[in-house]
Amino acid sequence: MALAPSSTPSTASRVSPLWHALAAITITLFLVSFYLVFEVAPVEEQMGLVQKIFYLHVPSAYGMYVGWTLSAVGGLLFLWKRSDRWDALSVAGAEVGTLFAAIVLLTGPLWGRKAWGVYWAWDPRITSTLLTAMIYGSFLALRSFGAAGQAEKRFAAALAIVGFPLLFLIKYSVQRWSGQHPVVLTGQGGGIHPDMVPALICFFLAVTGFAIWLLWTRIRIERHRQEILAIELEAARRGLGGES
Amino acid sequence: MKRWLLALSLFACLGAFGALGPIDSASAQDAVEEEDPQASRAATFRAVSGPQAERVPGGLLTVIAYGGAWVLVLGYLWRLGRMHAQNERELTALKKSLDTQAP
Repeated sequence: MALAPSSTPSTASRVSPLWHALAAITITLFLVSFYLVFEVAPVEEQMGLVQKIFYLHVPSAYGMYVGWTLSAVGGLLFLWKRSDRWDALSVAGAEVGTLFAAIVLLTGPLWGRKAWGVYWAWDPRITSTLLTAMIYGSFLALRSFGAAGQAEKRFAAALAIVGFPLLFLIKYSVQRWSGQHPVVLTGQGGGIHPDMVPALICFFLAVTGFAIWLLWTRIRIERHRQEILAIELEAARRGLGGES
Repeated sequence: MKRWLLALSLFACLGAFGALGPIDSASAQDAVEEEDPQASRAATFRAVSGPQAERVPGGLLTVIAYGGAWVLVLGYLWRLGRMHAQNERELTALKKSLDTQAP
C-alpha cells in the first residue's frame, strides 16, 4: 500500500490489549455499581426508590462535561494546527458528551416527576443544559451530512468552542440564580448518607472508564475513516481506484 | 291560633328534615369510603380535602430511567459498530480496486 499515509488503515484497525482491558474493567465497575446502588445503598427517606436515579444522573452529567470539554479542546486545536487528529477528538467528544447529555435529560425529568410533580421545569440549570445540548446537537447534525470538507470542519470546531462557556453556565447557574435543581453535592447542600457514597464513587469510576473507552473507540473509527478518505483522494489524483 | 300552630309544626318538620339531610349524605359518603376503592372511583368523583396528594410510582420511574439509559448506550454502541463495519467494507473495496489497477 504505497499510497497509504503515515499509518495504513489496516494497522489502525488493530486493537490494543489495553482497549480490551478497559472494556472489561468498565463492565465490572458497572456490575459492582448496580449491586451497590440497588443492594447496599439505603432507600432515601423522603424520595424513596426514585432517588436511585441520582447515582446514574450525576455521573452522566460528569461524562457530559468531559465529552463536551474534549470536543471544545479538539476544536480549538484543530483551528490552530489544522490536523485531522484534533478534528477526530472534537467529533468523538461531541458525540460522547451528547450521549451522556441525553441520559441526563432523560433521567432528570423522571426524577422531577416524583420530586416536583412535573416532568419538566424551566429551571436555570435544566434550561442551560438543554441549550448546550442543542449547540452540540447542531455540531453533530452538521457533521452527519457525509464526508466533511475543511469549511464544515472549521464551522463545527467553532460550534464546539462556542458551546464550551455554557458548561460553566450549567455548573454555576444553580448558585447564581438558585432554581429548583438539587444542590446536594455542592457546598450549599447537606451531602448524602455515608452508605450512599460507595455506590456514587463506583458509578463515577464506571462512567469515567466508559467515557474513555467510548472516546478511544470513536476516535479510532474517525481516524480510520479519515485515512481511507485520504487514500481514496490520493488514488483518484493518480487516476486509480475509480470504482470506490 | 290553630292555623298558626299548624304552620309552626309544618315549619318545624321541614327544619328537622333539613337538619337530617346532611347527616344522611355524610353517612352515605362514609359508606362509599368503606367500599372497594376501584368501585368507588368508578361510581363517584370527589374533591380532594387539603393539599392535593398524588402517588407517583418511584420504582417504575427508576426502572424507566435505567432502562432508557441502557437503550441509549446500546443504540450508540450499535452505531459505532455500523460505522466500523462501513470502514471495513470501504477499505476492502479500496484494496480490491487498487490491487486490480496498480502496476
